[in-house]
Formats: sequence, C-alpha cells, structure tokens
Amino acid sequence: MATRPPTTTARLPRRLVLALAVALLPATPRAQSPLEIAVKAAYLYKFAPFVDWPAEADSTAPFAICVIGADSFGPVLERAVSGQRVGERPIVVRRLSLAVANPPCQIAYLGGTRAQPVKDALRILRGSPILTVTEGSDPAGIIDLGLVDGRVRFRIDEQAAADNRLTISSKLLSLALAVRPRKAAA
Amino acid sequence: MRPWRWRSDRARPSLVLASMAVLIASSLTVAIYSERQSIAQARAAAAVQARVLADTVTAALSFGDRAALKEYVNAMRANQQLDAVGVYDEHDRLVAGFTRSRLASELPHTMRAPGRIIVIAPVAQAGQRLGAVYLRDRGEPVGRTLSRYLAPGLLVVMASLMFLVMTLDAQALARTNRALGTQIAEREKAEAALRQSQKMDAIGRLTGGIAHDFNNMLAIILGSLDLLLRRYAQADPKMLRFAREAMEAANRAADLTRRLLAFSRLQPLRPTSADIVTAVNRIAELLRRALGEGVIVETVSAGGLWRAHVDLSQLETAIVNLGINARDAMPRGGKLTIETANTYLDRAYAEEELEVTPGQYVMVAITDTGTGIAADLIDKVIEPFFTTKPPGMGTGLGLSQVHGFTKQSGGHLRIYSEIGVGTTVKLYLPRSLAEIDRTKAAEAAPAAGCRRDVTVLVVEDEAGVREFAIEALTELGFDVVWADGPSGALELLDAHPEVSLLLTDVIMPETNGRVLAEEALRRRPSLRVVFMTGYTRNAIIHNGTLDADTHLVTKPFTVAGLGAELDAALTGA
Repeated sequence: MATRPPTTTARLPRRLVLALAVALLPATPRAQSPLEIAVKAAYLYKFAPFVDWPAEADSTAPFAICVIGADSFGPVLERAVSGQRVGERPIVVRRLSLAVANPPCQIAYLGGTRAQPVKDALRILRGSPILTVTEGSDPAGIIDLGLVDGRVRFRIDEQAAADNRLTISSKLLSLALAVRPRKAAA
Repeated sequence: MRPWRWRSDRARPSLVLASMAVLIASSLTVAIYSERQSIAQARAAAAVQARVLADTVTAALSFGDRAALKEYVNAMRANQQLDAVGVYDEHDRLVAGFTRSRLASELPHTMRAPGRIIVIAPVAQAGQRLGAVYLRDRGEPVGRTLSRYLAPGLLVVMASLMFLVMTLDAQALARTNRALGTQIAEREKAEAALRQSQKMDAIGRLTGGIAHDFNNMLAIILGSLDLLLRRYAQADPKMLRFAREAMEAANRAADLTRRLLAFSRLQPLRPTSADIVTAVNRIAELLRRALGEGVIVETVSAGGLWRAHVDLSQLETAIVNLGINARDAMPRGGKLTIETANTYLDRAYAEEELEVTPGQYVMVAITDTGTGIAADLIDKVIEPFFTTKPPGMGTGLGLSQVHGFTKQSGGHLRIYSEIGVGTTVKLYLPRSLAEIDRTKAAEAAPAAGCRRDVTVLVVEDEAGVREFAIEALTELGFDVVWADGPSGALELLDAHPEVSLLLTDVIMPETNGRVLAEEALRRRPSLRVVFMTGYTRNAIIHNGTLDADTHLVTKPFTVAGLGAELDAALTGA
C-alpha cells in the first residue's frame, strides 16, 4: 500500500512546476508517474474517515469526491474508489470544470484552470462544508499534497477547515508534514 | 471414656492432615488467585497499550506511512515487558513491527502462547477497519511465579513431614501400649499365682499344726487300744468288740490326719526310684474293681518310661483319690484314662508357672469324661475341705493330698478341665536317675530273730507316747531303757553300754532328736538310730524327704509297724 515512488521521477522545483502550469494553458499537469497519481487518488478517499463534516439532511446520499478544474487522475481515481465506502456511504467521483457555491461534494480536488485558478476556486468554496485538496498551490486548500523525498505528503490548514465547518482528527494532524493551527479564539 | 479416648487418638493424625490440606488448598488458592490477578492486570495494561498504539498508528497505517509506523512501533521497544509488537494492515499483512523472538507475517488469530499475554487491538477510523495491532507481553517472569507457589510448596513439604512424624509417633505409642499391656497381664498373672501359693502355704501351716497335735493324741489312743487287744485277747468278746470299733475309728482319724499332713507337705515321704508303669498298672487293676462296671479304666504307657523319684504309696493314694473324683464326676459312667509319658518342662514353661523347676519329669495324666470343673473353681479345688460333692460324700481332701504330695515330691500339678467334656489332672514327677530300688532291697532282706539280745533306749518327752512305745517294745521282746529328754538319754547311754538302738522323738523341748542322735553316734558309732515323728518340719528332714539311710517311725504307729522298722534298722545298712 505504502509505496515508494520511483526514483526516476523528475525532481523539479515546485516553483518552476507552478510557473509552467500557469504558463501553459490549458493547464497541462507536470509529468507525474502513474504510481504517484494512484497514491494521490487513494489519499483522496482515505482522508474521509479522519474528517468530520457537519450533519447533512441526507446522510445516505453517496459520498462525492469532486475533481474541479484540471483532472490529472483520469480513470485512476474511479478505480481507486471503486468498492470503497465512507461509513455506509458509497463513493462517487464527480468532475466539475468550475467551482460553484455549495457544490454537491464532500471532498474537492482543485486542479485549477486558466479560467478559474485554484485561488479563485478556493475563495468560492470557502465556507462550504467541503474538504478542499490542492497540490502545491498558494494559497493552498485545507489539505495540500506535496512530494517530499519522493513520497506523497501533505500539509493541513486547520483554520481553513474550521472556516468550512470541518473538524480534522488529530490522528491525521499527527501525520501531516505541517499544520497551520486554528486561531486561538476558535 | 475409654473408647472415646481411643477414637480421639486415632482421629488426631487425620484431623491434622485435614487441617494441613485445608491450609495448603487455601494458600494454593491465594497463589492461583494472585497469579490470575496479575495476569489480568498485565493483560489490561497490554490492552491499553495496544489501544493507544492502535489510535496512534491509525493515520500512518491508513496512508501507508511506513516510516511513521516504524517510529511508533520502535517507541514501544522501551517497554521491556513487551516481547513483540506488530502492526497489520486491513488485509492482515504485517506492515511494521519489532520482536525479540518471532513475529508472524500474517496477523495470528490465536491468543494463546505459553506464559505470554497476547493482545490484538483493531485499528479503525470512523467505523472503517484499517488493520490491527498485535502486542505480545512477556508475562510474569518464572522467578515470580515460583515465589508465588513457594508458600504452598513449603506447606506441602511441612505437612508431609508432620504426618510422617505423627505416624511414627502413633506407631511407637501403639507398640509401647501393647508391650505395657503384656507386662501388666504377666504381672497380674504372677501376682495371682503368688497369692494362691501364699494362701495354700498358710492353710498348710494351719492344717499341719492341727494334724500334728491330733497325731500325738491318736498315737496314744491307737497304741493303747493295740496293747489292750494284744494283752487281753481272752477278755470278754463284747469288750473286745468295742475296743476294735474304737480302734477302727481311730485308724480312720489317723488316715485323715495323714492326708492333712500330706496337703501341708509335712508328711514324711520315702521316695524311691520308682517304676511308674508297674505302679500305674497295679492301681488301674485296683480301680477297675473299686470303681464298678460303669467306669472303663484304660492305661496308656509310653515305651522306655523313666523312673521317678517318688513315694510310691503316696502316688498310689494320689491316683486312687483322682480315680474316686473321676467316678463321682461320671455318675452315668464313662472312661478313665491313666496315661504316662516322659516330659521335659522347659524354661519357658517354668517361667509361666510358679514353683516349677525346668527339667525332666515323668508325667502321669488322669483323664475322665465327666462333668468338668468350672474355670473359676480350678484354683479352689486343691484347697483342703473344698468339695463340690454333697455333704458326707467327700472330705475335700483328695486333691489337696494330690497337690501336697506332688509339690512335696518336687513335682508339679496341672489341672485342665472343660465343662461337659471332662477333666485331666497331670502329675509331673521328677525323674530318678538311680537304678536300684532301695526299698525293695530292704524289704527283700530277711527278718532277724535276735530281738531279745537288743536293748533299746527310748527318748520321748510326751509321756503317753513314751509309755506306749515302751509297752510295744516290751511286747516285741526288746529290753528297754527310757529317758524323757536328750540330757537324760546321754547319761543313760553312758551308763548302759548294752544299748544298741536309739528310738527317739524328733521334736523335744531341749534339743531336737537329730542333734541327740549325732551326739549319741559320736559317743557310740555302732549305735542304730530310729526316729519317731508325726510332725516332720525339722532338721532331720530336707524338703520333706528323709536322708536315704534314716529310719523313721511315723506316729501314730502300731506295734507291728514299729517292729518292722526296728528290724530294718538293725539288719539294714
């Protein structure tokens, strides 16, 4: 399960990647190994048990993982979540080109597009009970994935989670590369 | 009281054993309980640790962060009590772990391992199983377990030792008790025998004393009557008949006193080396005629029977007495068996019985098929005047005579009886090693007819007896000189050199007859001596038997009896 990413993966400075991503439109994702993509796809649904969402009206509705904007997963994500459940809820994958207010998502991976950069999408989703996941963006989502020493790691913005009325388990926090804590008053 | 004490003695070891068992059981229970407690505590502690680890590794396990898992797991190494720690994923495959011995690559399902505590805690998040944590605790060290069971173990050893000691003690006590019991029984038996013997002795002295006085009187009565009949043979036949009747009665009285003396062992015995078989056959013949047709008399004699050192006439009296008793015990007839055999009474038998010397004996057993004697009367039957016969039928002196005679002969009497079966009286007579029958030799000697040449010196303090003796000697044709005491006798002896025979009483006020005889023999060695006595407990007689060459006239005596004894003294050795 925990797999070491191949050492052949190109080690590009994140800045350069981002610059390229912004420069090349439509956004072309930087070169990622299929394994890395698979790991990240698995991460998306694995975050679910460690996060508490505010109570919903329809608790039996499928648990939706949305990919908003550029989609670097492709069918890998569907394969990863197939057969998986969050609690009793089956998982569905939704793809949205643009972030809108209160989208039908519990987890949203923000790929970003030229028309709507990650930053804009985050702003739109702020306040909605959605776990936003970004990848090496600034500003970052609640969880920001990254590659450290060839391994997929993540940072957590607890304040952002609180803004979206989400509670993140301390267990997950302990595994995070870095945590931006909540403001004291909260 | 006694059975209870006996029971409590018996119950004591088992009581102690039971309480020791309770003690051991309770201490074992405590040890087991405390061990269980400690295991339960260790298990609870391990469970908590597993729980904590499971929570800690949840995210790392979920996201496959091996480095983080390794860190968490390695942190557990600090706990030396832990033998192995493993983190398994949702497919139960080992992801991270450490072990001091061995760790399965797949999550084990068994929770059992000898002496170890195994705890498995699930790793789950929001109801989703992510894997499991496996924790193996070393459990309690062997040393601590041993120390826990040390107390009950020591108790078991102690209880065993205690029981052993108590068992040995109880055995020793039982042995001592038995030995003590035997000793007491032996002592009681010995005391009873001693009492019986002392009683017989006392009765013997009493009867002996009376019989002696009676004898002296009877000597005068009989002697006078004897002389009367001899001298006045032509007198009025009526008068002579009265005299004969008086004499007969006096003879019966003399017989009675003889028996009394026999019982008190004071009767002078003339033991010879006697052929018992011949005597028994002769008496059996006599008894066949005397006891009548109803009683069958049989004799059983062992071959090569020894001679016995006894007074034959007394033995005859004894057997006849026993025969009469047997007949009286068999009113409807029966069988009387007289058996003779050589016997050796050994030391063991002699120790059992009082006054028995171990050695060789000739046994004469008289057995009847009569009514038997009750066990509590066995000791009494030998007492004088004790009789089970109706008044007038018996004197109660028969067995007394038998007893006195056997004892005085240095023998032994034993009575066996069973009610309704019969009685056996066994006489053990000392064996004689002498071959020659002296009495017979003496009897065979021809009687001498030179009486008138002999002068007899009579010494007797009792005037009646003395006068009868003088008359009797005169009647027999002897010349007589007399004295009433030893001092006078010695003077007469010096004054009358023709005196060749001394007839002296044994018991006299000044000196006894034996001392007188010794002095007389010193002065005149050729002198013959004949003693007169009714009472024989004195210096002349050793253990009731005469010295072999002593001549003795038993009071009361007849003229003929006196004449025969004097003849024997003059002609014999």
